[in-house]
Amino acid sequence: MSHSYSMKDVVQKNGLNGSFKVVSEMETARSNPDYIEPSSCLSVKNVSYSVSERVGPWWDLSSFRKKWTRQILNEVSFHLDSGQIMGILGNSGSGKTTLLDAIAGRIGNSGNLQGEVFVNGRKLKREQFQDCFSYVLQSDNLLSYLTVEETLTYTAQLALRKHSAEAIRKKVTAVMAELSLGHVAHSVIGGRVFPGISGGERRRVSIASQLLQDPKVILLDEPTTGLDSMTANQIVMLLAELARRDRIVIVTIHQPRSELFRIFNRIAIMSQGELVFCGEPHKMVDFFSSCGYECPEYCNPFDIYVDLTSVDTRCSEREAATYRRMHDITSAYQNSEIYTNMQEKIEQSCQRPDKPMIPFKSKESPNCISKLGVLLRRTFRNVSRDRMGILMRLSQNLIYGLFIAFFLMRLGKDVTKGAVQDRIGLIYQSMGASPYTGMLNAVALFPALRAISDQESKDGLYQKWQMFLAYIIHILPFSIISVFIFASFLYWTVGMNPDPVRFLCFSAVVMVPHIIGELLTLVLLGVVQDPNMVNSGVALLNIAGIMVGSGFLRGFKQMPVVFQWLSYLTFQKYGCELLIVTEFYGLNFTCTPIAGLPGECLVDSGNMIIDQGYPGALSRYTQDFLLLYAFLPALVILGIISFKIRDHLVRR
Amino acid sequence: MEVCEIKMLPALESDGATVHVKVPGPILTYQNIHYCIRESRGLCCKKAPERDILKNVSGIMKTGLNAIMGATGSGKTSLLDVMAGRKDPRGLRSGQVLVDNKLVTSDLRLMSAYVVQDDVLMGTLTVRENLLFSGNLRLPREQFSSADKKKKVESIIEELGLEDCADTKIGTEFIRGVSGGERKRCSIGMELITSPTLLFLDEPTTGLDSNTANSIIALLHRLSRGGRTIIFSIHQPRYSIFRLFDYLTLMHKGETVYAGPAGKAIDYFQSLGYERDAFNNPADFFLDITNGETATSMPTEKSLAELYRESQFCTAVDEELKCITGPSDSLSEAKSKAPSYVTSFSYQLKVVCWRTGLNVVRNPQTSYAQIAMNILFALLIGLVYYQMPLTLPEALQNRIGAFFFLIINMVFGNLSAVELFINERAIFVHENSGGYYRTSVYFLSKVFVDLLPNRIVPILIFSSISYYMMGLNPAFTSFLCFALTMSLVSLAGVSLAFLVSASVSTFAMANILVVLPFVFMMVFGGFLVNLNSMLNWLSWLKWISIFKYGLDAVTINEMKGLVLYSGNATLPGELYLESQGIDYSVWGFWQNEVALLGIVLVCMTFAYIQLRRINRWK
Repeated sequence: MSHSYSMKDVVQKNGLNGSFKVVSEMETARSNPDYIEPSSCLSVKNVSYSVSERVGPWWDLSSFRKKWTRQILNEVSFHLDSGQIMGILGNSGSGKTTLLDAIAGRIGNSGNLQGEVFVNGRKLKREQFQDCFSYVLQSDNLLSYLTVEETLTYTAQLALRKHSAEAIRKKVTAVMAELSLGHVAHSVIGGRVFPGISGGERRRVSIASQLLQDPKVILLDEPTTGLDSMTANQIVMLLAELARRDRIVIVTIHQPRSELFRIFNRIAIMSQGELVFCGEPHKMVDFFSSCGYECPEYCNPFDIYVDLTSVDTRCSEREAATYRRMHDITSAYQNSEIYTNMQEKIEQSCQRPDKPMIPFKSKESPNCISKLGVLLRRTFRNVSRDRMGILMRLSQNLIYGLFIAFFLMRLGKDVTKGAVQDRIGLIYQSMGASPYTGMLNAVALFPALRAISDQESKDGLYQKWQMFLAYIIHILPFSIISVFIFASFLYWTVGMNPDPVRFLCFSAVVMVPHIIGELLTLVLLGVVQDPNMVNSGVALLNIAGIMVGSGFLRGFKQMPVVFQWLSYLTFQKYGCELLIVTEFYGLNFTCTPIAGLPGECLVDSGNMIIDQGYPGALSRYTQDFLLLYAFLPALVILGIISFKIRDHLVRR
Repeated sequence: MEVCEIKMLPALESDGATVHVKVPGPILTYQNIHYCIRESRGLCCKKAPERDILKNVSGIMKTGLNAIMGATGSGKTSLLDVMAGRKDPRGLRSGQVLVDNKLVTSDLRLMSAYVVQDDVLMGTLTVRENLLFSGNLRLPREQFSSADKKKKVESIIEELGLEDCADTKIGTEFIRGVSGGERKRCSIGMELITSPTLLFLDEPTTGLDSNTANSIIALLHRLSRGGRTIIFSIHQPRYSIFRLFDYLTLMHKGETVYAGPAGKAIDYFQSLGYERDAFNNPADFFLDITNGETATSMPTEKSLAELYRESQFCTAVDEELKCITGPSDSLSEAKSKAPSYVTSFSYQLKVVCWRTGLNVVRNPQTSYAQIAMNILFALLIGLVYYQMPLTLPEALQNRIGAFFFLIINMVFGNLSAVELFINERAIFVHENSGGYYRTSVYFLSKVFVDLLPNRIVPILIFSSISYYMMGLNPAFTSFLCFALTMSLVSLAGVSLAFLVSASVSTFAMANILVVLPFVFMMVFGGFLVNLNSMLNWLSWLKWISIFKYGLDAVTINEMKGLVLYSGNATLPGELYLESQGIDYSVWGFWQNEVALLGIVLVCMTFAYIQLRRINRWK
């Protein structure tokens, strides 16, 4: 009885207010002949999203087998005109970011997504989302050593074809001016290791990257996270200004300050996947007051209303009570004039016969080779400013060479003093250790580039495998120089076979495992997210390869047949055979008997070593070389495939 | 609902009048606090300039909710830590902290409690188990029986509203656990076990959403009404939280700009000419004032700190401080006795071992991964070296190669042991400095409950598989000696990794520091290069090589009594041992085991010393 009366009273109040406002709007329209219809509009209609999840981890098999469906979004609808900025509020887990992803078409293939998104009344197809919306992520993924101007210029070169260098420069300058970045145009972005521009400026660079393509709809996920309150205010006011210039801006924000109350054109409150309220800020206060919830003095209305609509899961009684309250407010909203007006706007924009065209972003992309060139120049520019990084990369193998030479000193010729043993140990170290330095380079440098590549390929700038290819082309000179320095130092210092041709062969052979180590790591980084797992995986592959393929720890003939065949798949087999022949062929040893062991002086020439452990290696020399170098293009192709697979794996 | 609850609070309390409680809690006073730190300047021996963190700060903390607010870098956490005795005393240039007119001694932690900003709880234990752990170690057994402790834990669970999640695990990266608010309340509960009347909290609402933050502060408010003095630092609370404060201390650049009743702060700043916008949050208002973002209608050249020192609030505080300071002169004898524990060594060891064991059992992915990795590795090496022949020269090459590979993987496979302590460093520092247990108790429980079982059991499995697959000496005693050698080599690697883990705080540095000695030991093990050709002045390094002792032991174990063939000629294994300079007598074998055990004990001793040397000051 009381509930029924209360609901009736609410309806009456809303009816009266609605009528009054409708009259106001009509009067305004009639009395102002300069009123212009918005150039574009965005409508979201009945968007729902649910996912199936496993209950427990893999080792808890009983829980792992169970599945349950979770409703993340439930029948969300709203309408926005250009020139407006909307803030989506809600606690953690309320569905804010998921709603933004659903609008932007960035929800992956898992789960069940329903509902429709219209721009200017036209329903968007799946492939059109990327071309229509710009999305700024919560975290900034930028290259640390580039300046602001360089960052934006390279992005423009990747995104815009048919633009001359002068036109791109003008566009970059205009965007920087619009976002107040002109004064830091020549400052480097910076990172954790060294300072650069401030957090707020870095956030604005991320926004500027999206503005280069003239988007009409910009979506931002928590753009104020990690910034202090003053900087956060500046960002939101900047976004409001962007919206006023004939754009639609949607922002998810966690706990905005009360000053922002007047800046948003629309406030949407999410809770438990429900759109509890969506409307103008001053109507929000009226709406909640009509539901019986006044905003007390000294209180931030955002805080109060988000609290009111959140569900308290501390105990079951409070959860039921707060859920009921949230449900009541949602029902009141869905029965309100605000909701009805919003639905009418959606229907009007969908039903109008003369729909404007969908305002796509500038979309003339450069061709594949041009993109590769831009990526290569950008990577080169970024890394070339990392002096310490370059120095470390060039000298890491040399440091290892110093380490080996320090212990070996000079190689001798006396079998009983370890002449054969020392040479084999040296070959083992050269072949076994150089992949590790390559792997460490990739693990240290590539994940950051991969994060940027994930984001930019999602923006449609290029495909992930193109970044992979640019990175490889970039690292090749450094790898070659580094290994050559290592080989030059080690070969002559410890006194290996003094023939210059053999030195060149040694260098050419040792170069390959170093590059293979880096390539193999990159291939795995394409499909495995965790660099530590890739680190362990490559190390394991390396250990297995050196054990099975080198013939050093166990001769080929003594191994089971399965492992003999497996050894043909390892680059260590070919590399070790080549190095053994390069060093031992034509070498003669002396022998000083010590203990009278039978057979201790059996070896008197390097050829015997080759014939014993590696029969036929001499005749296979050229073939081994070709097979060793065949690993390089094979891994490049495998890497391209890996990053194409990554395009399917990473959907957000 | 929430708003109604907030409205129903008595208006009298929020005005900052004296909080009425049955039994008042302690009064904490701090006078003329001047705290500095010396910024490190790289490798230069030249003294770096000192930086003032707190500049002549004074005040009173009474029973109720005492909030310290300020922007980042204002000194609010430093002030909290100085009051709680958690700051390095060397930085305290002047000033003193009194609790109920008595100088603070190391016994302060028996009557007070400190809740750190980041929750430090054992994720694999439930809420009740964590609270019971705290109770077992911090409640004296003479006064509390087991039933009393359980009753105490249950009452705290009830008081904090944790009934629904009492038997839920806290949660790790693998285990889904309790919510952020529940975890924070559990952290508070760990400190309430000893019924402290003085409670310090460092930013208790950081990282929580607004609803959870509200409930935490409401909880603290309720606790303070039970006769506790609660002091906490907080960043930018909303009004629904702010109105629960009894007293407010506002900090800016190491100075106090306001200290007094929280309800009168707005009036104070308005009297200075600052106007507050409608719907503006008081906390934001204060922050704008201290940041200079809000203009005043009465400009003055004086700073906010100077204006405060001339205000009536500061005058009132100074008057109270003068009254309090008088009697303390006669009590100025500083008792600096060593900190005492409420429980015995053996009981502490029992409780900590129980928790460590529970933690190991509930991390099955660690144990499973270890065992699975060892089985796979054993099968791999067993297949590659399947049934090695006795014919020369393959026999020697293969056996020595197999031994080398076994030893190298026993050692490098234990690199993951560097994670042992680094993951729990925060927990250890917090609990050890909070008086839970002795360093030796933690060290021994980690060694006997975590290290030994997790390393020995997989090795026995590994040895039994690979030994017989490779066709080594079939005598059972030889197998036992082989397993013993593998275990000791593994333990030596683990001990070195543990030492490194106790010495550094990041994974990257720990990995580098543990790999270097391993690589040196590997080179000097005598297999990769002949030791005869080594530089004489470096040959002493072989005596500290795990690889050398391990290789020598397994080689003696295998070669002694073995006969190898080369056509018609035979080669006793002993001849090979002689040519390598390996002593193969009975003591010759066991001296390697003794050396490995020595390495284990030395590394463990140094690891323990490093644990004791960890800097516990914030």
